[in-house]
Amino acid sequence: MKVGYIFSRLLMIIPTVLIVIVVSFFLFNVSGADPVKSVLQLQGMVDNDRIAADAYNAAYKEEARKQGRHLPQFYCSVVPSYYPDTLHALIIPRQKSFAKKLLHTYKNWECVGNYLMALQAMQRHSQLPTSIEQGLLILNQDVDNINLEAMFTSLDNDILTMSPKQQSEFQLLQERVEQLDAKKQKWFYPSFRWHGSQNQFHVWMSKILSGNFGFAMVDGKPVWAKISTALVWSFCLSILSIIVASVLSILLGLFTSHYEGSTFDKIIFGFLFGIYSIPLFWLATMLIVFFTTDDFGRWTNIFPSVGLFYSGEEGVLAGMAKHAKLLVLPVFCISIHSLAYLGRQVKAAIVEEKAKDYFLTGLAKGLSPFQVLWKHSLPNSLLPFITIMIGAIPASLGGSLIVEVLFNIPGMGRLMYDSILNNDWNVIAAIIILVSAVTTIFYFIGDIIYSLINPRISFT
Amino acid sequence: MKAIFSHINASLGGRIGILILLVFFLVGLIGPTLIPQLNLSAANLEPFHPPGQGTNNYYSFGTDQIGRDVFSGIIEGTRWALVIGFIAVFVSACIGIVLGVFSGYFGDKQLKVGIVPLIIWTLFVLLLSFYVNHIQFSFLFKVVLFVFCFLLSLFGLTNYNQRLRTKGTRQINFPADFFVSRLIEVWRAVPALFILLAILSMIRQPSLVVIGVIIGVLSWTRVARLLRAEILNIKNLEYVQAAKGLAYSHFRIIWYHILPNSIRPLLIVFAFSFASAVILEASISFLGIGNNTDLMTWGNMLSAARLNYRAWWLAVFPGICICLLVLSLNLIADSLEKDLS
Repeated sequence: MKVGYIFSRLLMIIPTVLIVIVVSFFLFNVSGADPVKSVLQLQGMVDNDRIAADAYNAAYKEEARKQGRHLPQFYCSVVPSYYPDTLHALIIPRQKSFAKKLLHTYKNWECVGNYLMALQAMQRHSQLPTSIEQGLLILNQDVDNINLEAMFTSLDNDILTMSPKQQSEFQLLQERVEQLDAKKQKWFYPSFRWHGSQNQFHVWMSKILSGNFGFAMVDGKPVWAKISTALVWSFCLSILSIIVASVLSILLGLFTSHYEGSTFDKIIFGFLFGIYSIPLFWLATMLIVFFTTDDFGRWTNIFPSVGLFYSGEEGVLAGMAKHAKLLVLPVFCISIHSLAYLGRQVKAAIVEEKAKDYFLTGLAKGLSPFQVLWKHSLPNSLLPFITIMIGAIPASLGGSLIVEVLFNIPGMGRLMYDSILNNDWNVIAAIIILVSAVTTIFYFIGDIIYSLINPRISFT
Repeated sequence: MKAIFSHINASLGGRIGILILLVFFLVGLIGPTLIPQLNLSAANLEPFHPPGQGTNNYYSFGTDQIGRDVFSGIIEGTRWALVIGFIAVFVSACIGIVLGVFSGYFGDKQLKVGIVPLIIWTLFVLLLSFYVNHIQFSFLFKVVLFVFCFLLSLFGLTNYNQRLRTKGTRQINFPADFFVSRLIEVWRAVPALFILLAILSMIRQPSLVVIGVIIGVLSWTRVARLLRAEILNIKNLEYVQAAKGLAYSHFRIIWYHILPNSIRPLLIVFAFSFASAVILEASISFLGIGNNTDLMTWGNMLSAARLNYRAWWLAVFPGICICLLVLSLNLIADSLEKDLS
């Protein structure tokens, strides 16, 4: 039964991670971050120049093919019936959104496609009269009420200055526009499309599951390299602060449980309660201002000013040892903040254990109160504490973002913050997936350890 | 309600908490109409003026980076903090109560659904979401439309289901608890702050209402988990069994018997959610992601203090306000928690 329970819990990790992967892929797409564009930007190609637009578009298409962006997005899709099968093949974002806009207005792919082709053919000509060129530019943005006569001023004169081929193509464009208006549709129904495994999500997910997180969009460094160092920093920070917090809270719990209900107990927990109500970022700011600057007198300037420059060349542990002085305040900040909650938990558990019969038995057979407390009560009362501690590690991975940002520690939260500011979704998605996976695994481990230690737990 | 209040009133902490909270409510409700409208024309601005007499005005709490009075800002910010908290709690309560009741009350074996209506309803919801997604209206209208139609159809389904049961048509088990528990597990695995920041970075100039809604959506699991556990205890008590024996409808049992009896733990969670929503909003404006710097929220003033560490009044006064609000909510929750369980 126990093995079955562990196995079923283990199986539950898989769908969780899959769902998180799907959700982060969805967010990635919604975010509007463009990994192709960023790669081109890193190569020095910028999309601001109308003359080099063709070259840019060609490079864009090639890079997009390389990244698999020309594929449909998901295994299947439910789209309006007027969508063509191959809309995803339009790679250039501007073209795609323009085609989509046209589609939403006219709801007829045949006419829209013809119109787009005619428009492109017209734009390919290099020597057009300026008024026509400007009109085409407007056409590329507007989709409602396309009216060529109103748009092109002095149209008749301009047509005469064009070459015969241009004239015929312009006439075609006019026809297409008329068609567009004539065959405009109103109603649509959902149509289900199946794309098979050749799709962006499949490619992306298989990469991620095989451990290839791609490259950061900002600087082109591998995402995994960035995350792994950040992960170690965050882990060390959270484990340090958890150790400090749990040692302090156990001591506090032992101490106050002895004086339960006294003024001393009330004052201590009132004080901790007040600290618990202080937002973490404010506590951190106050600590920084007070202890790292001269503003409140020389004597409070104990710690070096914030700013942890970690080059990444030395190992993380060596880096931590080197910057140990800088880690004091953040660790203190996190642990004192959780001390109120943890200390109270420990105290409540110990008080509960103290009321039980075995405590009295211990005293009766001649043990000192401390011995009973230390050897019998504490292990029992720490049982629920273990799950809290194990759950706190992944929680602090996500929760220490503000502390990491304020104290400039190169951990996960800091990396996440920077990536969000840069809209670097290759990193953001990887972080979200990794942190959720780590969290589920830790919850799983916590449950298992708890059930191993406490045989009374039922497996249902 | 009376019993709840007397419970809070019984302890000193609870009384202090209620008092502070009432002051904040009063300030939030009528404060902004009372504060003098400071002259904000460019010539009169005195950025980063410390508390005291300025050339044009008396600034009791100093001024911020573009010269607005911090005291008025704090009063305005009180309103925003309360708005954020209420919206977040409301949204998380709506989702959390529905799902928590769903999983706790029905469990895995007690929700019987007719197969045909279930399939029809699923198809309807899919179609609804498709059309709502593709009509050209504002986002807010889409959401309202969707929620309205969804609830209406759900109501229809339950009504029809009840009729099926009286007729004795064959029905299948719907493992409500299984689905909701898995959903909660997935939700808890994802770091809420990360997702919040990621979503906010996508929205251009999100309003505070939107931020509140997102915070609420991200934090419903707390309500659902607690309510589920609470209902698992309650539902085997005699009065619920008696109500079941009298063949009351599920809705009546839940609404009139179960929810009123789990109001105390719910209020505790609401107080915590309120506090954490206020803190979250302040943190994200402090970090400068997705904030609207035109508004004088507490978080915005605190983030202005980051520009200039010497402007201690920008950090201290809003910070104290947040602390007091959070402290009062924590105190109330604490007084409610006493001798529960």
